Amino acid sequence: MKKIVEQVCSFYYGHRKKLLIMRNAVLIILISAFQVLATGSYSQTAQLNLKLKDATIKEVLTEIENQSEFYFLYNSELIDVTRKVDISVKGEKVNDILSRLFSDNEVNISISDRHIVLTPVTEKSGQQQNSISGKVTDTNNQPLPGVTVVVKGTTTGTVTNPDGNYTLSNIPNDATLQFSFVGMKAQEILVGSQTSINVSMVEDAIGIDEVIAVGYGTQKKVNVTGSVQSISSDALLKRNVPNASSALQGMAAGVSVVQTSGSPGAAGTVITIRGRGSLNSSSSPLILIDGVEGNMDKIDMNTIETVSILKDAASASIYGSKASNGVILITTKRAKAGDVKISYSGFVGMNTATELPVPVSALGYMEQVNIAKVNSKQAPQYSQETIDQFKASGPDNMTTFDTDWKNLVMKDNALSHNHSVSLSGGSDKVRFFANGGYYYQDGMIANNDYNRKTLRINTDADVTKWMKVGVDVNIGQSTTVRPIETAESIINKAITFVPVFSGLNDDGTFGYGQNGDNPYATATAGGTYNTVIPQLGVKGFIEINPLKGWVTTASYSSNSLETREDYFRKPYDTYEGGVFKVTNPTSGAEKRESNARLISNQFNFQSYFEKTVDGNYFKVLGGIQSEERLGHSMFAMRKGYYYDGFEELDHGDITTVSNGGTSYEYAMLSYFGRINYNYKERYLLELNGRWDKSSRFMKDYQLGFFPSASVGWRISEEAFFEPLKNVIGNLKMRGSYGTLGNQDLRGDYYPYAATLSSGYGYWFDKVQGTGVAQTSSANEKISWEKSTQMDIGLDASMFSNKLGITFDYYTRKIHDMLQQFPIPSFVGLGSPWENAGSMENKGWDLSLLWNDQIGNVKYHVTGALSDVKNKVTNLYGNEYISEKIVTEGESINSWYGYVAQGYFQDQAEIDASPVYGNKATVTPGYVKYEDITGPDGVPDGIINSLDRTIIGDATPRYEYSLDLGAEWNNFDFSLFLQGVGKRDIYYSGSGARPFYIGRTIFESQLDYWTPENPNAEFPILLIDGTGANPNNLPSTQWVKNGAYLRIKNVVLGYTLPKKVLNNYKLDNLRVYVSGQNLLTFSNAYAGYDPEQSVNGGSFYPLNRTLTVGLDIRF
Amino acid sequence: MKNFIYKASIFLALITVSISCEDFLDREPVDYSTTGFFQSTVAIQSGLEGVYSTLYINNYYSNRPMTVIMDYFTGLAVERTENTTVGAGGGLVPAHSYVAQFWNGNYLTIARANSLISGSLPYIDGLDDKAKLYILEARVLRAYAYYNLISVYGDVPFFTEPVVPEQFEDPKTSKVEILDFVLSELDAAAEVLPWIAANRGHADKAFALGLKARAALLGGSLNYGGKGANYFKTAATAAQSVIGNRTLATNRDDLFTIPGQAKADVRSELIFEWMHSSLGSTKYHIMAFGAVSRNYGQTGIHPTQMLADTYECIDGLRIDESPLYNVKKPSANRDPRFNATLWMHGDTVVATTSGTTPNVKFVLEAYNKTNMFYNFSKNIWESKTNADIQSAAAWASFANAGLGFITKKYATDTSEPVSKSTFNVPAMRYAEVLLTYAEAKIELNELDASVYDAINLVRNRVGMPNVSADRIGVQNKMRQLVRRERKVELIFEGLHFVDMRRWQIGDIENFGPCYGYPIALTKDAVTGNITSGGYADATPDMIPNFKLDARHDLNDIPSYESFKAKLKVRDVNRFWDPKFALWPIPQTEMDRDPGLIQNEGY
Repeated sequence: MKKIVEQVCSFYYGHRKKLLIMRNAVLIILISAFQVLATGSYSQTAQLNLKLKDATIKEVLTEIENQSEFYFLYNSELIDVTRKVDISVKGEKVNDILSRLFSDNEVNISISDRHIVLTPVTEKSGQQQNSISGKVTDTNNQPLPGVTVVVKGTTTGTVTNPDGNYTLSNIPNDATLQFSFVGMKAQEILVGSQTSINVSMVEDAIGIDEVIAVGYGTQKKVNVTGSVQSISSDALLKRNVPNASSALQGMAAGVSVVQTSGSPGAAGTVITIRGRGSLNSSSSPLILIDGVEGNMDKIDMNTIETVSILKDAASASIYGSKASNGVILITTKRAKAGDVKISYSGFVGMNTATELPVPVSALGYMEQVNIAKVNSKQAPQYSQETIDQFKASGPDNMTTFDTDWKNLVMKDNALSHNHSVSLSGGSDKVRFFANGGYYYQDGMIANNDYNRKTLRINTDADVTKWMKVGVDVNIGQSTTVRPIETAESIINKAITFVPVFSGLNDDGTFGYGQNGDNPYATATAGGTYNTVIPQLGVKGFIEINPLKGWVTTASYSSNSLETREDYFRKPYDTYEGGVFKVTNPTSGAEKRESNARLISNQFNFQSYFEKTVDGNYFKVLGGIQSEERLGHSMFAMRKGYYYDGFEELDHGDITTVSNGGTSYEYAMLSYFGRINYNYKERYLLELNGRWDKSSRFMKDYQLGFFPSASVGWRISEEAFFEPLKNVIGNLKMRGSYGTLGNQDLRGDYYPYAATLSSGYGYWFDKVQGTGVAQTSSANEKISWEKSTQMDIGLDASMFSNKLGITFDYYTRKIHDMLQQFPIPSFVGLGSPWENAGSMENKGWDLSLLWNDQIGNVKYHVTGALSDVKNKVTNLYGNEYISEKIVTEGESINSWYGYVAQGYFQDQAEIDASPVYGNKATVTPGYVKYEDITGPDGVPDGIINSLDRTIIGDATPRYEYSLDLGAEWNNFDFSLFLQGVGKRDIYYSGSGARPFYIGRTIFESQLDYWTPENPNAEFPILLIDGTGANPNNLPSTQWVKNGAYLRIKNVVLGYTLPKKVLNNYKLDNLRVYVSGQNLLTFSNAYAGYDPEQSVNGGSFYPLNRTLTVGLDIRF
Repeated sequence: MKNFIYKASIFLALITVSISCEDFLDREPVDYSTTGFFQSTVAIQSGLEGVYSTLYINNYYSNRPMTVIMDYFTGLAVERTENTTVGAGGGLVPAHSYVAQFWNGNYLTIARANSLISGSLPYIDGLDDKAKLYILEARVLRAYAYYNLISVYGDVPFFTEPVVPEQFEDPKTSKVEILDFVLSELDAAAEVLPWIAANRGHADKAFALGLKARAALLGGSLNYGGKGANYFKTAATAAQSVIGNRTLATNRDDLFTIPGQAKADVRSELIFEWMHSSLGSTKYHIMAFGAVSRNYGQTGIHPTQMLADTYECIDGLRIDESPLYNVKKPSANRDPRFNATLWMHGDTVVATTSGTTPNVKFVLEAYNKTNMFYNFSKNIWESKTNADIQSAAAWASFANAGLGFITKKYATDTSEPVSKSTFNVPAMRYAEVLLTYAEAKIELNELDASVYDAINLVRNRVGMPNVSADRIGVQNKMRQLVRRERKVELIFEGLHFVDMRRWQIGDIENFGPCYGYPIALTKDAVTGNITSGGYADATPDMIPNFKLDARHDLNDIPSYESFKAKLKVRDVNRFWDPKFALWPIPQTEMDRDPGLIQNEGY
């Protein structure tokens, strides 16, 4: 078996394989280059000067490439390019030079403009041998040049010419031809009696020659020693969600993506890589868009080329201080020289809430609240007479009402649509890629929507053959509109407000609602809160390549992110029974405007050198990065608006003026370096180091050093593995160890400084003064939080790349944790930050990929499964207790409370049992709690705080996903399942409790304890004005299994056949329908989506979305 | 070669650009550094504002001082919900949010005061008189917070300088030690502060001494450290020194309105206030809005019959003793403070819900589905739905969840909307100082003319007669009167919660069901209005028994046992546990400071 080492040695006038040259890119470059440049004159005019002594032919060819726009396509296994020659020519044409290098009977030279294909002249001899020819194309029927065709087991072979054609002579009938190409699945075809063999190459999803983005560069996937997962833009786009963060859900093992809100444009997606990486500091990964920190939800997904996720310390440590929680590298598309390409993709979707609780009707409320009152030993709230009358005549909408708040406030469905137009093209000197995107999503309540406009222009220019510059511009603006009261609060009220209150009167006036609070009026007439976030990012870079293998890049970027908010509060009048009740709010109209701006400037300089000597490959990278952030904000407001329609600040009453503003800044200075070494791509080594200094710490504590090392062994490249190679094409073991840092102190930019803040004035003589107060304590010794991570991994591909497996086991220890130990309230200050304590995450990630073809149905199955277990290892004896406990030896997200042992079924049981609080008030149907311990370490017959224990873990575990895809003729189908194997949800507040602080009861909560229903879901129905009844203590009663399986995404697409497309001069046209969150299986409470961390009843429901979409390429 | 130089120079240029200066990382906070800040008068004034801004300890109900809310945790008032509230006993557990709020709020005052006091100490010699006054004010506020803490929690952790980490596990300090510190601090402040602050809202000498009297009275009543008599003496002396340096407002009703508070005599009586304002970003309270009729506001807190029955008749006799008491019309012939504090069935209510002039006026018919409302645009009376009985929210109204009374106190200012009141809330009035003086002297059994004068001043202002002759010289009778005066004069001003515990009468006052107005029985079949029953049907036997025993009599605690079936009842499960004499230490604080020991019983 021959190994194809240098299939395409160099193929592009410029210089080097860059990240953008990936498998698809290779194709597109070549194709477009041929189309543009097939004029044939260049080779006749270009004149070359060469003076090389004792150089290999390969070096000569490279020099020609450097001097000219030629590039060579050849297979170094078939053509001896290591032969040394001396050459000295002046002003010669390339053809003549090549004739000097190769004798006629050795190599066929085929020149097509700037592309020169070198193929060996195959010997003519023997009998029973045929000449075989054919054409190699891709799946779109485009010719593929440069495809290596060899006779298996021999050195006989060739490379396809610019038209994708090849010819091989003297091939025995029993020979097998191997076709291989970067990024394509290799194919073997038995010759037999055929004389013409046409081959269609299929993209290889786990191609071993794939190049993926790594920190500050790219790397061949096979040589990666860390845990890096690359996701193509196609995979993301197929999800048909507007935000990249949502699209990542389930895409990579070990990357947990949880949707917490369905709010239009919500930043409700929480991404964690390999478990929660910090107790108090950020646990979000570092997101870099073309090397600059950014928000992936603020860019159009059609501009994304690839996403690379750096999961382990070895991959991430070159980003040092900010990489503790992993890194997500997003690379945007760049143009290739060639025709101007235009593409459009868009979809229209209809959103409905996945789950919502169902409140009872007015009559149901009256009956149930009476039961609760009686159970609470109180007089019934409604007389039987009132109820009977209501039953008989229904609501009169004067004094009695039956308001379906949910129906009144919430829409059944809401529209969303997304449009994206891309334009790319350019000459071989200057290229540009541009994309404009627009996304709109309507909300589930009135006056609530979101839109996002984005524009990105990436340009590249080759100033000389060795210098390239580029400017990228990224402009975007998102606008969110919502009622002044948050949508979550309004929805909470819509679900929980008591139906007996008036919502919308017959005459169209607003009802009095619950105590004058009418969520319908608030949403529709209370005024809107508008958030406009314009952003502008500019990046310029210069790249020089003075010597072969040496590349130096410098870039500067500046990003401005503004947040402009304003609202004009409009009071609304409420009426009940035709009588004016109150104006809400009574404080009258008010206007507030605010503006916050964050400017981030980043300078980056890096340089690398790479060389291969006798199978020893070295690459050394070094760089400097500086970064600063400057934040500034201000607001102004007035009240007292007396004339309708005049809503500017100036129109308000000047005596009510208030305003304020502040600013902050921080800076980082970093140095980083990396050494890669491999021997024949068999033994792999990588060392990384980064030195970071942050202005957030005092001088002596500023420096953090974050090193890592990783090794890899490609067993499949060993000689002894040869017999297995047919089955296991690639097998690599990896190991890595490294340290990462974290300094994100929840917006605290000067944690070392004890400071007094303004804004604490008093009203002496009724005029507000400028008071100051110290509100939190400081720690001068505060420094980096660090984590170390060990990762052992295995990559394998089998059965001719049909099956791919990646498995990783890791431990992640977080130490010197940034913590604010809860200090007693009598200190009167917030806790200081300290570097103390440690915790660890242990887990594993498994990815499996199968792709194959049955008949003409191509299909793939991709699965991901991962687990992570968190344990807090050292808190210096401290505990943080709320509904959750953070304590040594337990998971950080442990629910903490009492153990419920069902319900008291009779008085005797109560008499014989310890109870919480006053025994006299406990009746059958109350939750019975376990007396776990007492002050002396044994049960003491009293239920109090000592009886609390761990009652669940909120961390999702065994997260899994399964992507099933198939293509048949022009149809494509995919089914994406996603789920969580284990998770505990704790429900509280109006999420769990009927009549909580005067709210209503849901249909699902009617399953409460009565003597006839002793094993009910809910305890005895009680009035719960303050939420203080003992049944509501955090306990296992309210902890539910949050595991779920969800049909996350289904897509059915149809691509128009080429024939049809050609008639309309289209490259591609695909239409599809898709559905999100179609079906969920779970045991959580009815009405609540198990994925959403809803527990207090205040939330924005997730969306079930049906989408129709269209992609066109011209 | 030229090419190489070109390449090299670009590379060097890039390298040069990337070498940053070291001061790139020097980023200064915009906030003031605490170190060396309190050197100037302006800085100290800003710091002092920071201390004052902690004074509003607003709780769950929001925008009402917590101590005022705490009067609703006594027998004289109830919260809207039944049985499980702090007031009814069941809610008083270490994890209750009120328990933590009051604790945290007072310690916040203390921490900010300590920060200012300690921070300015190194510069004290260079400071001007004004700055020194400010520092003394901070000491007064710190003393005030400590008084609040010991009066509610007993022994508490005690710090007079900013707390350092070594003190995070400190145990409690004896309340006696803290009280003595409070008294000495107030003495120190009183020596220098002016009798009346030039700038309204600042603590002055009258407040320092008044607070000293209030605090010492606590130590006296509860016999702190066995030194009860000494504390009563201290209280009497401190209060006496204020007497004559402040005056009572001529018209008591002026105390709780914007126009009233602008008057000089009112300013004199209002020794210390929680400042509120309609200016700028505004600081408002909802003292009124949350306690009134559903016809124009909400009711979250309700006065009880026990409070109503505490008011004497105009002849100075208790209702069980006065011939003037009319069970069918309880508000007639009563101490005028009855009608100034409470609204009830039959009263005409006037209020402003928006704007600056009254826009609501109606006759409160507690039982009836319709009430007479005044139509301001037509200038006529009209019959309209009574929201207290006949609305979706009626169950939460004073008529349904309450006991037949509305808190009128704080709700009489019609110059601004009832839900956005900006008149100041009294934190200490001269009337209290007078009664504190009297109580201390009575407890010392020093019954001289100054005692009667003090009480008479308060009573005469509203038209109540002098201390009756039968009380003169009789300690227990005077004790009864002064306690009654404190209730009727000062209820809902944040004093009765501590008074009830000081007098140790929680077991009789805050125990068992509480009762309200007579239940209406007969209704008109068509209109649904009451045709008989309620007050109309009240019978002469419906006078509660104040003389269940000597303690009940002394403290004016009535019993409704004999006719309870005819009365509205609330909180049937209300209970008193001796441990309620002190609130528990908040659970969060127990969790964080292992040096603390929980108060007994919790």
